[in-house]
Formats: sequence, C-alpha cells, structure tokens
Amino acid sequence: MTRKFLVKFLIYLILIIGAFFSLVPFVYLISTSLKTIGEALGTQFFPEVPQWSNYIVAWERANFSKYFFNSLKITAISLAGSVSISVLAAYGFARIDFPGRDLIFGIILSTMMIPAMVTIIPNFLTVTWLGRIGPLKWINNWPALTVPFMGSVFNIFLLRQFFAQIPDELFDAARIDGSGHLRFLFQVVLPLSKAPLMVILVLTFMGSWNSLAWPLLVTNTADWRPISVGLMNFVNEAGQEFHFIMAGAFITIIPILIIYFFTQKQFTESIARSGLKG
Amino acid sequence: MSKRILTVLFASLLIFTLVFSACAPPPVVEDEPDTEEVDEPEEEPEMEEEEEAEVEEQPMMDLSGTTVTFWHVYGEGDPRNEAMLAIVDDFNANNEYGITVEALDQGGYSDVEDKVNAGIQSGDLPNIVQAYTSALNNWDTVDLVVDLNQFVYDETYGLTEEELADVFPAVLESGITADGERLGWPLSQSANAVVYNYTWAEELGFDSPPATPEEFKEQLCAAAEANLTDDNPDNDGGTGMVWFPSTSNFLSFVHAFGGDLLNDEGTAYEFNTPEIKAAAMYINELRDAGCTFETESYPNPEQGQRLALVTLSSTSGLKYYGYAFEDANNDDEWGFLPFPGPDGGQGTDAYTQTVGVLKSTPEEELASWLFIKFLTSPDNQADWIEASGYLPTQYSVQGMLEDYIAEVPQYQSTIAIAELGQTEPETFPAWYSVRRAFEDAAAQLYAAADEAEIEAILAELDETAAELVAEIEE
Repeated sequence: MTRKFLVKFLIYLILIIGAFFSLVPFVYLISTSLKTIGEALGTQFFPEVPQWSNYIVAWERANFSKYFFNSLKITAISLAGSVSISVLAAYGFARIDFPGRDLIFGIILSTMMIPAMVTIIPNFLTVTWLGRIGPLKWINNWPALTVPFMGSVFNIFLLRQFFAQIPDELFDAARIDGSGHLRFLFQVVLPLSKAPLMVILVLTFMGSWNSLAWPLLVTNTADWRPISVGLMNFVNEAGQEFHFIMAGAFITIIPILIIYFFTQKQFTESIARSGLKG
Repeated sequence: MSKRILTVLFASLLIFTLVFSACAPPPVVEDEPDTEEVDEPEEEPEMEEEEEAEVEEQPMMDLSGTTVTFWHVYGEGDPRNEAMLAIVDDFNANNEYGITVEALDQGGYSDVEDKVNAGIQSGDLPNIVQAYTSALNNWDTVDLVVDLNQFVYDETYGLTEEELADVFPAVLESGITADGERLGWPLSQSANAVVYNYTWAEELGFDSPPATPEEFKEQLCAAAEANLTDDNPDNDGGTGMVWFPSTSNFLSFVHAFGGDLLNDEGTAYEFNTPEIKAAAMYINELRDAGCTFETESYPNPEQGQRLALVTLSSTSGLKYYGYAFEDANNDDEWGFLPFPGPDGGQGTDAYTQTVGVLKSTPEEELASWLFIKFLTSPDNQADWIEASGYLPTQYSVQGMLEDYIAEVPQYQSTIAIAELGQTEPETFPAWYSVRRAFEDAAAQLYAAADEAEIEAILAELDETAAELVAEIEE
C-alpha cells in the first residue's frame, strides 16, 4: 500500500512539475502583456499595476481588426481544402487498389523529409506561374496563401493509417447494401474517424493561423496578410516592445485555445491511438 | 457527432472550396502596370507644355506616367510607415516629372531579402528596395543593382556640389564596392554608442564625460566602487559598464582605438593588428578591474536603476532608455557619447538605412533615383528623423531638428556621433559570415587570459576570414 502510494505520489509530482514548466511560459506571456515597457524590459515577473490598455493599443497599432479577419478567411479556406483533399487522398491510398499505390504513397511520404524552407522558392515560382497562366490572381490573393497547404502529406498519412485499420468486413457489408466508395467514406469511414479528423483540423488551423514567412512572401499589401504579420510591428532593429508583443500574441492564440478546448478529447485520443505520442 | 452531421460538414467543406474558387475576383494586374496607362500622363496636362519647353533646352527623359514600386521595412501602425507614406504622397502629388511611387511594406529586412531572392527567379522585383548594403552587394553579383553614381553625379538629375558637400564624408564613402560602384543611398543612419549617466557621474566627482580610455576606466570603476560601498546591498552586483561582446560593441572600441577591419590596401580582412589587440586588451583590463558586468537581456533597466554608469546601445534605442529611466522613477540626466579612444580618438559602429535601385528600364531607374533624391532631401530627412529617431546624414539637417530636440532632449547628444558614421565593410566579400566569426572571436577575446591568447585568437580570425572569402570567390 505504501509502495503504491509512493509510486502514485512520484507520478503526480513529475506531472505537477511538468505542468508547472508547461504553464510558466503562458503565465509569463499574460503577465508581460500587462506590464509597462519598463517592467517588461526588467526582470520582475508580475506587473505592479496591470496595464489592460496594452491590449487595446496592441489591437489598434497592429491593425489586428483587419489581419484577424484575413486570418479567419485564410484559415477557413485552408481548412476546407486541406480536409477535403486529405480525406479523399487518404481513402484512396487506404481502401482502393490501383497499380503502384504503395510506391506512390511511399514517394509522397518521402516528401515529408524535405525541409519546408527548401520548398519556399519552388512553391513561390509555381504560384507565380499559375497566376500568370490562369484567370485567377494568385499572388497577393487567397490562392497563394492557401492552395499550397491543402495537400498536406502528414494529414494524408495520418488519415490513411486510420482508414486502413477499418475492418474489410464493414466495407463488404456496405457493398452488399449497395454502397459505393463515396457512400462508404461518408457514412462509415468518416463517422469512425472523428479523432484523426479533429487532429488535422487543429493542426491545419494552427499552421495556417501562425504562418508568417510564406504570407509575407506572397503578399505585397495588407489586403490578405494574416494576424502574425501584425505582431511584427512591435519589433524593430532598435528593440522590442515586449508588452505589446505579448498582448498581441495572447490575442492571436485565443482562437487556437478555443479550437483546442472543444477538440482536446478527440485530439489526445487520436494521438494515443496513432502511436504518435512521445 | 452523428453520421448526418458529419456528412453535412464534409459536403459543406467541399462546397465552400468550390464556391471560393468560383467566386474568385477577376484578375487584377497590379504588379505589372498597364503599359498604355504608363505612357499617358495621368494628371496636370498643363505641365506637359512646360516640360516640352525644357526638352528643347536640354535632352530630358520623358518620365511622365512612370510608376515605380518601393519595398520598405516599415509596417502598418509604425510611425515610420506613416512618415514614409506622407513623403511618398507628397512626391506623387507634386513631382514635376509625373512619376508615381507605390510604397509597399514587406516585413523586416530578412523578409525583403527573401522576397527579392525569390523575385530574382520569378521576375517580380521592385524598382527601389530597402536592404542591408551586404544584401545589395549579393544582388550585385548577379548584375541586379544599379550603380547610383551615374545619377548622384549627373549634371541634370544628380546632386549639386553644394548638396554633395552637405553629406557627411563617412556616409558618402559607405556602400561603395571595390570597383567603385555605389550600391545604395542612405535614408538616415543610427550608431552604436555609449549611454552615459551625467548626473550620477557628477555625483561621483566627474564634471565631464570621459574623453580617453583612462578617464573612461576611472569613471566606470568609481561607479562600481560606489555601488559596492554604499548602504544598498541590492546594487552590489552592478558595476560600471554592462558589456556584451557583440560585433557592434567590440567594433566600436576598435574604431575608437584607430583600428579597421581591412588592411591598408583595402584588399583583405586583417584582424591581428596592434589597434584591435589594444582594444581587446583594454576591455579585458576593465573586466579584470571588476568594472564591467554582463546581463541576460537589454541593459536598459540596469542603466535606469543606476546599476551601470554606462551601457552600450544603438542610438535608435533612445526611447527604450527613456522608458527605463521613467520606470525606475529616475530623473538623472543621460545621453549618448562616442566610444573613447587613445589621443582623443572617437569611435562608433554606424548602420545606414539604405535604399538601392534594381535594374529595369532607363526611365524607371531614373524615376527611382529622383524619388530617392526627394526622399533624402534635407527637409524630408528632417521629417523622417522626427518620426523615426534615426540620425541625419547631412550637415544641414542637424540645424532643422530644434523642435525634435526640445521634445527629446537626449537626441541632442547623438548629433555629434552622426558625423563619425564609421560603417561596417558590408560591400567586402563574405562580410556576413566574417561578421559572425568576428562576434564569436569577441566573446573569446573577453574570456582571454593574456596578450598571447588574444594574439592567437586574432590570428585564427584572420585565417577564418581568409577561408570564408576564398569560399565565396570560388
């Protein structure tokens, strides 16, 4: 009994320490967002008098009202495209036999090894070229900001692993009932795959919401720039206005927190099931 | 989540994507201005007659309708963005040539660099770009950058002798390659300098700021001693000067000690010189005397709280020091000084906010220069400085800043530093790589035990720099 208690105590102790270290940066972010610039540049952890006005100043100076709406639009389009493409591609690789399927899947998987920075220039050239040959303007418009991220290899891989685990008997039963691939996908596979769908939803949302380098590259004006660009207004070569950066950062992560709050059960469940933890 | 809801959700996502694709706006070719529009003067047709009259007198290029794009680094919400746009608007409304400038902020310097690098491949490049001189130097290797000397010294469109004499000599000499090409023109500058607490120094018995390394050491060590011996135990960790071995800080001392980073012929980096060795030994002398200390972050609070008599900072960090003194409820008088060197030498490490012109058509290149000339004219530079807090590059601007100095008294102390304007060898091959090696060496030098170790580090730095240059030249 004592040994069991001791083990449990140790586990909880480690978890509490882990939770503490995970929470400190977040507390620091909120605390600094409420400081004066002097306090933010100094070493004290909490502000003497919370400066709630920092949030208003950050919102106005970083033009967040515009960038926030831009980010919402970019994220919504990216999510819609990414989920649609990933689900269809993953289903194809998991359930449909066609010549060279595994080879193609292997080649697609191997692209995960290529660092994202390496693909920036080729992607930029591609979207520039597409903008020139097609009727749709790509640069400084939503296609350049969203389309390159709709075919996420990780999303396809994650969903494919889930779809492949679905017993063949279910598909056979559905076929006997007259179901084709699309109906089987919508009525059987997707309802069983809530957890991985939530994972790709959260990851795509976060990736799109936090992106900075690519949006700056493919936009020339503020018309389609996302919220992360606004944060840069508080950084210059002479110094950083930490209090505004933190207030702005907190504003930008609110949607991510909300999304995660509503999907955390499925998110953790999916990570646990897929063996991706650790 | 029921099957029905999931099906509806998925179908909605598909429809959403399709609708967005279908509802795409018609193509707008903003990036490539319509040539027909460009050829037609858009406003003030009566100006044409005047221009025609001038054409008869001298062969002036017809620039009416020319549009040039200008990529800069000042984002929305930044006062510098507003100041820049005001100057651009003024130019667009009043320039006699009919030129239109489209100013677009593109993030920070590294973002602009990335965009130009990508644009070299795609062909989408601006006419005017704000960049570090080293970046302009890189682009010059692919023959992308216009040599501005052809415009600066042009009889019709260039600067007059009087205007050239107005530019600080050090600034005029910056941004020039070994071949004599002028890759950029500075909007303004800032400089690494000594932030000095006049009030505290006076209380310590010093009536004037230090003018020599010996006086500098005496004052720092007196401040350290005062903190150690007073009744307040909280300030015992603070000493005379916060030292961070950055390239800028060490290079400023090197300049003050009369040193440079290139050999006399200007053909190679040379670090193992008596001046650089003397600067390194002097800093270590301060360290050994217990008159320096290091901080984990920007040293502004230490300065505001009298933990340090001296800190080292860019002049453009002025407002952050103001915040630090204000936050510490400290009314001390403070300001900026150049780094002190032997025999009254003074040093700094200046950085220019430079714009360059990328190659395009003769009309666009000339239009770009005319805008730069307007942007950096004394009146506009004075406005720009009031918004940005940077330093001027022209003597005449110094006298135009009285209102700004009344508002920000500490700015007065930066005026003298502006003239020093010693910049880094950004147009010399591999400077960015060598700069990193120099910064590593500065940290090693600060940890060096004796003169022999300092010499060894500098000799190794010479070798490293030569290797880096050889790599580039291969």
